[in-house]
Amino acid sequence: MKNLKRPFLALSMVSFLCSCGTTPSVAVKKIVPNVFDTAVTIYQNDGNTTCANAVAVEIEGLDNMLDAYHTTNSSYPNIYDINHTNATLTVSQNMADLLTFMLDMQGKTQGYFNPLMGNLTALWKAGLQAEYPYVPAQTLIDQAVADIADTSTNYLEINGTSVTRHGVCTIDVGAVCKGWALKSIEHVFKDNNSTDFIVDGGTSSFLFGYNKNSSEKDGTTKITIDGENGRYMRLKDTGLGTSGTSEQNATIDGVFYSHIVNPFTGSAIPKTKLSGAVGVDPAVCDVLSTTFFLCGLEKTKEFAATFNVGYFYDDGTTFSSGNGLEIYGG
Amino acid sequence: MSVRKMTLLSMMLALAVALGWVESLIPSFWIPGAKPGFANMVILLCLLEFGFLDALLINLGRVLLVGAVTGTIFQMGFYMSAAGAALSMIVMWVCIRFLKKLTIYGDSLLGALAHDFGQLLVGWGILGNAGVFYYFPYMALVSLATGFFVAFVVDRLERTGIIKKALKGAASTSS
Amino acid sequence: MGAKLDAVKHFFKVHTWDLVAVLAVLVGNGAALIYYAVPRTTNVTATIYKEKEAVKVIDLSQVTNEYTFDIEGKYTTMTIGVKHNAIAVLKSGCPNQYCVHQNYVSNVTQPIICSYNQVVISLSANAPVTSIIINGDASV
Repeated sequence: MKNLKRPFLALSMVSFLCSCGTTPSVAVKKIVPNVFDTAVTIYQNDGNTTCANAVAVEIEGLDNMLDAYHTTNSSYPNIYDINHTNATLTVSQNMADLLTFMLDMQGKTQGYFNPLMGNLTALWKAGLQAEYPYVPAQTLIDQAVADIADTSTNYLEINGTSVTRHGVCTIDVGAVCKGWALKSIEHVFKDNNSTDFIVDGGTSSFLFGYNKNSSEKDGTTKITIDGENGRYMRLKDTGLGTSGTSEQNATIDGVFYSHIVNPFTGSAIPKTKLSGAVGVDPAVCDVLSTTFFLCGLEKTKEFAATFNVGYFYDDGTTFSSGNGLEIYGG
Repeated sequence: MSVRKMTLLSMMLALAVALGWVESLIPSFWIPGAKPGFANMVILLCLLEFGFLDALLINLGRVLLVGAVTGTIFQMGFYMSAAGAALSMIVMWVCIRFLKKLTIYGDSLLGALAHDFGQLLVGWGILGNAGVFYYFPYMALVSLATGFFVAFVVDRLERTGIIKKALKGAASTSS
Repeated sequence: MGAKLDAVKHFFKVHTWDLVAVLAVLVGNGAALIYYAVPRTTNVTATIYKEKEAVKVIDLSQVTNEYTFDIEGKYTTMTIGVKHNAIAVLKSGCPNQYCVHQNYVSNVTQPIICSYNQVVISLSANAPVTSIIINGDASV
């Protein structure tokens, strides 16, 4: 039998190999559509479908929590519910944490990030996203700015999970919702022992894990931030927040307006083309990317140092980066 | 070559063409290229009785004539059949000549597998996609049956010695 | 009985290598068929090739509603059906109809091949992502 074993095995292998197709890769890509006014894409490079599905479920839950346009379908009030009453509401712990975080960031960013500018952003959104875009009436803009500045009348009161919205200003989570969602789902990856992932929150907020297929073999994912000039960075195990003028913009009578509104002036005319923050906390990065967009380069450097995040800033003429963030190309 | 031998070979060619044509009428039951292989009986018989070169002539003639008769000449199916027939014949000859431990059944089986493989190789070349080899296990399992059938028929013919008798008749008259 | 046993022994002695070949085919191809049978249907992308060139790529994992479309094969038109993680050739003018009889496929090991029209529908699992592009090129 010994002298039959080799030819038998050889023939079997030949027979088997003739039939094999390509060995498939294992990555899972899951798109969660219609959340946070955009879509979230989960790239589960390690093929962990269970994890990707769990993340998707949490994202949908968070979208419901952060929805400013429809009342909630869960037991706790959402942003819409808070924005439509001045009564004291009992919210979920996550919501309470978010609102506390927003108030904290308002203080630390010297007001460039303002949780209660919902009325102002709604005005501009209605104008810029209309079928025939228009600029909102200056009187309405001025009133909205004045309301925001009147912090004795318009403020959020948070006691544990009890939240009271005082005054007429409404909460706007647009500058933080995606980053907060990414921060909230981090535990799902840990719970599922998953480290090789990328979460794309509408191409403006990201969460990166350790990329085992990295071309540089160092776990980093290549992020191209300026294809025209070939600028890119490499990130791993970090969050990224970006703000730019490429989406949700409109040109009216030759003037370019972006969706990012200055809470101090009420203006939507940008002085920045693209800004971003890189750090451990994706929620902080999301807030800071908008803050950098509004505050200019000098304050960007200051805030980046305070929060210990890397930054990049492009005003359309000069590209800057710093605080430990390495940008290649350009 | 004697006239008798030439006549015999011509009859073999005609038989191969006829069997090939009949085979083309049989559907392949959703496995592309899976055919009974009737014409391979003639080729195997030729290899055993006449040798490689004569079998090659018969095979070549068979492929061209069946292609012409069925109207598939110089189309993709024709090239696949030709490649399969060529590879099958070469493998059977190698088995007969060098792998003496295999009987006619083993020769026929390996020839059938080689036929499948040759077809798929050409398919790969034309379509540019190795996915064609997906069909190989199914074709191979069918080849087990068809290879056995071909070998059985040829084995029975060999035992009757009909070809040898016909050639012997040629030898006795060719002096 | 003794004669029968001798006959069986003789059979195995004469056909040992033939049986080895048969067994090898059964084992090798059996293993291949088992390999095919293992489902690999999550996150599949279909690439449609016509005469070796890729003419369409569809991420089947993102398809929510079924739809159909036509493509021109080398000789006839083919109707392709697409649904979540599956694709099929619904209609073809080819003579053998092998491609149509395969129905919907979703396993990455199983291509749909219409050799008459020189069309191949090849399925692949989504590859790991190693780079991202952020858009940021509107005017200031």
